[in-house]
Amino acid sequence: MTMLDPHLDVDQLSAAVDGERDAAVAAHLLHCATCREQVETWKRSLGQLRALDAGPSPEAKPAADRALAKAMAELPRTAKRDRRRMSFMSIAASVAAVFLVAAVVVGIVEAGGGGGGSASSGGASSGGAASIGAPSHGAGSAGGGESASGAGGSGQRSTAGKAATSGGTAASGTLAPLAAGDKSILTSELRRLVKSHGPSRVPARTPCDHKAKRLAAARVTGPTPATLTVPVTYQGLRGRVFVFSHGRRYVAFVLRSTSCDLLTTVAF
Amino acid sequence: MYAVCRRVTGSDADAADALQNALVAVVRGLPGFDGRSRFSTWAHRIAVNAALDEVRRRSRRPVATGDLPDGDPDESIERVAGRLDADAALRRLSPEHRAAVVLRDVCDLDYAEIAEVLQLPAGTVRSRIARGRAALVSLLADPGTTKAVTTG
Repeated sequence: MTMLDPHLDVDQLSAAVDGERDAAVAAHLLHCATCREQVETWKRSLGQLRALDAGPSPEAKPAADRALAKAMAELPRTAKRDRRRMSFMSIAASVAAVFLVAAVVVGIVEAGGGGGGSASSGGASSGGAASIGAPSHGAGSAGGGESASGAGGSGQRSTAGKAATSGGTAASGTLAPLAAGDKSILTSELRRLVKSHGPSRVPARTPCDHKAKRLAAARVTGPTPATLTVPVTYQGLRGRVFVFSHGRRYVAFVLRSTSCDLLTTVAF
Repeated sequence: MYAVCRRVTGSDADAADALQNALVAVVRGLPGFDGRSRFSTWAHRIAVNAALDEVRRRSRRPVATGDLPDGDPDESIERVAGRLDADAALRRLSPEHRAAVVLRDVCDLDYAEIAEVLQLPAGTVRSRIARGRAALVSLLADPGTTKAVTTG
């Protein structure tokens, strides 16, 4: 948008697609049908990218399997060679790597069975909210190796141990319900996570009427029940963490009486 | 990591090579991983670098064609067509723009994470994503167009 060109430029369009629009852009979009249409076109086109199948094709599976086998064979050799130098941090990272490799294996198996997207890391939400570094699994982080790896075990079991579904509520998409043991681990991990993040470190705090609240509220009362609800004290107020299955991710929301915070998205 | 390698290289065969290199690099690099960045960011960075290395290696050898999968026979024609169009459009972006767009729109990373993965200033990341997206939209609207992002 300049004196010469009255329409949004690519930077503004891109930001608008991400939901980031300043007052001038928002005002422009209100009265410019051309730019509104452009934003919708961009969203449609980029939606095609999100639908891309992330798993290896059947032809590529043998090569990907070989890659995994080589990496797995490398792991014990490396661990032995460097055992004396291993710090706590690298031990934690090793655990995360095992989960990472295992998750890639699981992803390949699922892709071979017609499964779709990748287990991408818990990061940005569709509403632009950021993760606060919860332990996530698959290609996701284990808190950068900084946090305890208990929930990592949870994630792995809930992916691989699909038969152990006792106590789990129905999950949507391709996710298996959480097993009872996973719920226990995830509950303690969510409590720890909420307790350890004060107000200044929560980037995804949103007002009540934000999309995330509506999404969470719809899921609380809608046909898809929360997979897990955990009572917590959050920023000095009582609240609850609701965990929903969403595609191939679990999404955790903290709901309080005054606001809704998207805590994290966790892929496992 | 496979998704990153696949979309940045644009080829199953190159993605498998890149994935292998990336996984080996992850395993070898673990003792040196100090936890200053998130593990996922670190792993994404390795995957992107491995994929870009593979793209550079590929540029020095004859280009293979017909590498796109035919897709699942049960998938609707429209979905297959849309997927192939998107894949083909992505492959026409420069590797630098493609990596940024893949991390944002396929892997769903936020801008700060992408800046860390690509080790670029946030402004550069925003610019690459915006220009990459613009080229992609244009390519999807008119696959025959010669307009694409070719320089960083």
